[in-house]
Amino acid sequence: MQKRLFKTNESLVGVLILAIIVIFSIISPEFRSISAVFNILRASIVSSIVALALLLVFISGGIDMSFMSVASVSMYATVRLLTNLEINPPLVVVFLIGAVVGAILGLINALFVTKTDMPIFIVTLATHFIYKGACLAFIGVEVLDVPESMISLSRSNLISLPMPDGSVTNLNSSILIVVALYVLVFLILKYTKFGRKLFALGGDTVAAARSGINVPLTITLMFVCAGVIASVAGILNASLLRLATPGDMIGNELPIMAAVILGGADSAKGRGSVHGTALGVLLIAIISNSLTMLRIPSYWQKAVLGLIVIIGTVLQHVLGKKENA
Amino acid sequence: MEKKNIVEMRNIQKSFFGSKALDGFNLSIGPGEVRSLMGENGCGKSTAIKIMSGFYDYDGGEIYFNGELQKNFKPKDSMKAGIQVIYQDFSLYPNLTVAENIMMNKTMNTPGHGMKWKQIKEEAAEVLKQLGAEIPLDALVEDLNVAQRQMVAICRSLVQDAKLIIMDEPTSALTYKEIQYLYKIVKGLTKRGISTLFVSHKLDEVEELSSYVTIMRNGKNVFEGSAAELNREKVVYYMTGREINYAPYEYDSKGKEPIMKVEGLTLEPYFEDINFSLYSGEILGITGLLGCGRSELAKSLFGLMPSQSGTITIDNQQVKIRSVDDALKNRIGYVPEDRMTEGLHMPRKIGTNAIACVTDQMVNKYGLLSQKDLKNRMTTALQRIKVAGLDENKAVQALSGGNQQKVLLIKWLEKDPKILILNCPTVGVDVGSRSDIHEVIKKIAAEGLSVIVISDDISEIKQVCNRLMVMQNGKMVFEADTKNASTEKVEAILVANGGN
Repeated sequence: MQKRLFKTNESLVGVLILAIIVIFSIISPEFRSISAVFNILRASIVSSIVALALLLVFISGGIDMSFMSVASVSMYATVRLLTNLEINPPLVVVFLIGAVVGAILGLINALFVTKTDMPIFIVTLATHFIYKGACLAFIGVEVLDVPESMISLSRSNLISLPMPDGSVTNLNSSILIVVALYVLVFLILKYTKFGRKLFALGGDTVAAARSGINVPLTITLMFVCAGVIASVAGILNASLLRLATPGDMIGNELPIMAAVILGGADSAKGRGSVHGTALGVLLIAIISNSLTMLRIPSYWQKAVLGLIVIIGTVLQHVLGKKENA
Repeated sequence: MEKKNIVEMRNIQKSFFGSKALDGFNLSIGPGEVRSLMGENGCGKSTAIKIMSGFYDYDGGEIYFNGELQKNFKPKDSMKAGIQVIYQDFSLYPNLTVAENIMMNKTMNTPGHGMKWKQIKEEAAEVLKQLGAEIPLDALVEDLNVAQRQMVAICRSLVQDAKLIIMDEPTSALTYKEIQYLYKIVKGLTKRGISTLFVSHKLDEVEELSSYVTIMRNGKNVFEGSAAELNREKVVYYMTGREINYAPYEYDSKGKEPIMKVEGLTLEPYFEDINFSLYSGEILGITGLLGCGRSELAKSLFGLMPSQSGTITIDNQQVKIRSVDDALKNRIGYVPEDRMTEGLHMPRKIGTNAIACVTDQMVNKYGLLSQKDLKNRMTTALQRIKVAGLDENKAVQALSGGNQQKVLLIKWLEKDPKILILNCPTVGVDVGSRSDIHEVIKKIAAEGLSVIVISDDISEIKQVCNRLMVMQNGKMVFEADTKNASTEKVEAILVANGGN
């Protein structure tokens, strides 16, 4: 049982998180406060959603480099459209427009991948630049104000707690969107044939075709889902910042990728889980939050992040090997 | 009532880019039959299987499933008719559980979008029980051994109501015991009325399993009949269309000094206290079941897995072989079992591969590689063994297994060894190339090279070696001149003591 517990990366990341929480609680009293918890959760809202988009592609055996571009461009295109039309629709409509853009960008990814048979990594590396460049060239370069409904989302709090020093610490309502998406993706991966097809593709593409799975269709559907999820993250990000900046988020791909990998996703083996990804995102948020609290310079934070990725994956590898012996 | 044939192929024609893959092929398989299909690589076996399973269409002829003429059928139709193929790679998903693997094809081909996990597990458990296979349902396929994976693949066919299971060279990666178990399973399927088409190279397997054999050559049937009518020579004749010379290697060690003496060589837990002498110009065969330590012994003699104790004497001088460098200094060459990963650079050119061991000799006075010398050396090297259509600029991976093996032999002969160790030199090689390779081995030994051939194929040892030794559980248990050791005797030794 004990062996079984450590066999999966998920439980290992859980243990790492607990260890880090204990260590930092001892070092820094600030860390033990509810506001620290809220800070970490707030910092994870956007990254946890893009991580889901990446997770889908990882499970199917590919590495998506374009998810941040998709998130950013869907957000900016949506806000631009609403600004130009001078309308102020309800939040649901904003998300719907974003989802359409995200789905289209996902479709373009899928089209290149299925028609050219090129690896997902290469195709999405290219589209990552294309989406960003095309957005700046054709959609706009100005920083835009976001519609009223997005601003009101940023002001809507699920929990507001008064602090002893008189200030108020808040947890934004959009955390509910995160939870809903995680439950939804979990259900899709576990209980729908589409979800199992993604695992099948990640396991063996040739075998998948022999099983009667329509491989191109599955890849297309996956990219559409990933695009829609990424667009939600993009719009949430702009809402929380109350600004739509073109090219925002782009360049922050790697920490998300690290989180997904730490969470046990492995594109070479067709592995990955929703709870693992959640833990991976949390771990990275906790580390960067606590290092900031300890006033450790950001370049050291990067080094620590790298170290955690190595320790996390190596430990899993070593413990997994023992199991087989 | 007359039983309908599950599948009947009549006068099937199929061409690829103008060359005929199938030229009037016929095959019919009835219910509860075990049929063997034999043929060399490229004879059209896989094409026939792919046509039967609907992955290829065909240019002419007729195909009937269960007595009904089929037109433009797809893999789905073939599966519906109960035809299931188990490919050599099994087509399983290593990242998924046994239960999900068994049920994957069925699940994906039934309507609906949801996964019914309870039903999946129940059905998978049921079919495993029917076969008497004890594999945990929740185990990941990546944690299973080859034999267990094969069982999962068979179960997957069964849950799809297979009437005919086509097994493509199912025994190639199995140990002796696992093969016996597979025979039992296949016989059990027959009792339930499920037919098997057993694609194989090996006559002994065919004899064990099937009463009826189809042999193919150049896309045609060349033999249809009972296994009892066949012997090894006839099978080779039907498969290759030519008579093959089976004269054993003549050698007399009288009055000669051994070139290599191995005494008390031990590497726990693989082998212990190995003693033998090797004479110059001799071909010594070492055989044994998978896992008996034969490969480890070969690797030890080549310095890949240095021994813990014991001595090796070469030309009356005791030598230490702790590394590949030591082995090369003593002019020992080693042709590994897995030429794909250990022997050749698959994407590189044939010429480059052939001289890979001696490239460092072609350095000119400026310390650079001389392109002219390289070119000349490639040309002379490739003349050593005749290979049809050998173009030094082609990539090695474009060659057939047999021709790859010839390039690998050339590579080591270029190094000019005194002792050459060949580990399973004809694994995955068709019978025609196999006898070519045997002739080459005999020729180089006659020129004075000492050769050790390691193989699990007793007939191969009998054909090329003048002396043979049998390894079992890490020990040498038998040694004799080849002409004094009958195949039956060696087999009896192999199976005795409950060899694994």
